[in-house]
Amino acid sequence: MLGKLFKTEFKASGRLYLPLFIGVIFFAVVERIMLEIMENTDDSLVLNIVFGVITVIFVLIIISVCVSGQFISIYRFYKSVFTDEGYLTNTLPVSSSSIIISKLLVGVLYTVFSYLVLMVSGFIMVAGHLLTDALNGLRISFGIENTQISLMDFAISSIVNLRLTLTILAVLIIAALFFNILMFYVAFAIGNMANRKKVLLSIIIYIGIVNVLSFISAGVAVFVDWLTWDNVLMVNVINITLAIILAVIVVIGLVCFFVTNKIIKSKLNLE
Amino acid sequence: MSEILKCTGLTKKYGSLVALNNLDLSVNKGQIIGLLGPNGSGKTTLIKLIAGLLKQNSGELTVNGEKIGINTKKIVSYLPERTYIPDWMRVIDIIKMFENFYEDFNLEKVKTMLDNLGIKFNQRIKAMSKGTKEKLQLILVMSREAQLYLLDEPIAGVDPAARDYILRTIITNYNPEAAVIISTHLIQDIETVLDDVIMIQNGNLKIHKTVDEIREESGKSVDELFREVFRC
Repeated sequence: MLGKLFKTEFKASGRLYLPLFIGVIFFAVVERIMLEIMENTDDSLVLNIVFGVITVIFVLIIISVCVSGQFISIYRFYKSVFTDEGYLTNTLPVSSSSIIISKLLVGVLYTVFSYLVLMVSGFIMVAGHLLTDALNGLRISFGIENTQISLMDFAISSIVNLRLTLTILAVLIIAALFFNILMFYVAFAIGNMANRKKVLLSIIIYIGIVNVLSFISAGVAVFVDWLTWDNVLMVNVINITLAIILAVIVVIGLVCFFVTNKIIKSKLNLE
Repeated sequence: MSEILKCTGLTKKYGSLVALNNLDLSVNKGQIIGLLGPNGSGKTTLIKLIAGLLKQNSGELTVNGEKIGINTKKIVSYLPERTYIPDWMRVIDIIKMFENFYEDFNLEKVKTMLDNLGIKFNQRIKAMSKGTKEKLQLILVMSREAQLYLLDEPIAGVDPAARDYILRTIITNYNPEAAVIISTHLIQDIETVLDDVIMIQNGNLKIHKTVDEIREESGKSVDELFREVFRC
């Protein structure tokens, strides 16, 4: 049933994400064409105005995509579990944990898609000679333009040296994607237990959770600082710190999941 | 007749408010039952508990001998008093969803009923009137070959002509091995289709009798008895 829930949610969320994705790619292409035209023609007021308007729209769509990744997932969760649609969702012959997991997976997947789409649009903007210019700019800023090491070689050597760090970092980023969405889920689940102003209460609860987390983060920082780091390589210090952050995120994420599940299972408060 | 629903000492509280108080109830297969009571008597709470949307504070509740859970949701077909079909869907989308999740969903039934009511497969839910949405929901719910149907105010929002169709739909489409529980205030409209009547007040069971028993014992129709019992 998890597969069916995933498929249903993927389709339901897709209709919200797809127009944004198409919009970003479309405006990236238009923006690139405009850049090429501007580069090869004399300065013109009309062209500048058109370029300015397109740039503003493009930036607005990029901002929408940046925030939509998680926002749409949270909206979908709230709408289909806690509003009238909840009468359909919560009476399906599936477990409440399957409902949460399917929505969470789809949310994370579309968030990753959002970042990929942004990367593709960035590539469209700078592809060709603009990309070469950008890389040259990077070389200069890294101060390696006259060395034998190319940017790629530099990147590869770093990856080899910091393989473990990057692995932990990659897992951490993925865990953080799940974690961020789960924090909203639990806030909305708790907020739903109230009889009035559920959304407002949910947002207040979310802010509260974020504040508690900042205290925990400060605690982690103090703990890492307190540990003795004599004779330990810097890269290992980074690895251990990242591992502690990962552990904290996983534990709190699991707590958020179980609390959300418990509330949907036993304390659902539909209008 | 075998038992499809059983409540023993069922109690549900909302904070200090007792919605259902130590309710004992048993429903057999093959019956159409009217669940009646004034506003706030606990009808919807009872239905939500059976549908698995709420959890009781104490007492036992079983459907076909099983506690409420995934297995009971497979055999319970629930029509809430709210319209729950997502607005962005077309009729075909919600039909596919029912087909995907409910093994007992009968596609032929749904096609026939949609045709009878002139609802098209590609119609957008957003563009439908409230009454049409309610009809569509009822069609979906009655198109399942379920063992227990829970219909919460199924005819409240539709015109009298559609009411007749809906009641005919309920009678003709339910499996004789199933039970139908209908909660409504429009007693006169449904009285003719009922086998049993359950009346609850302030979360307590007031009356659980067959319609024939009510007529024989009191000499009154169900509607008249309701007005007498719950006179304000």
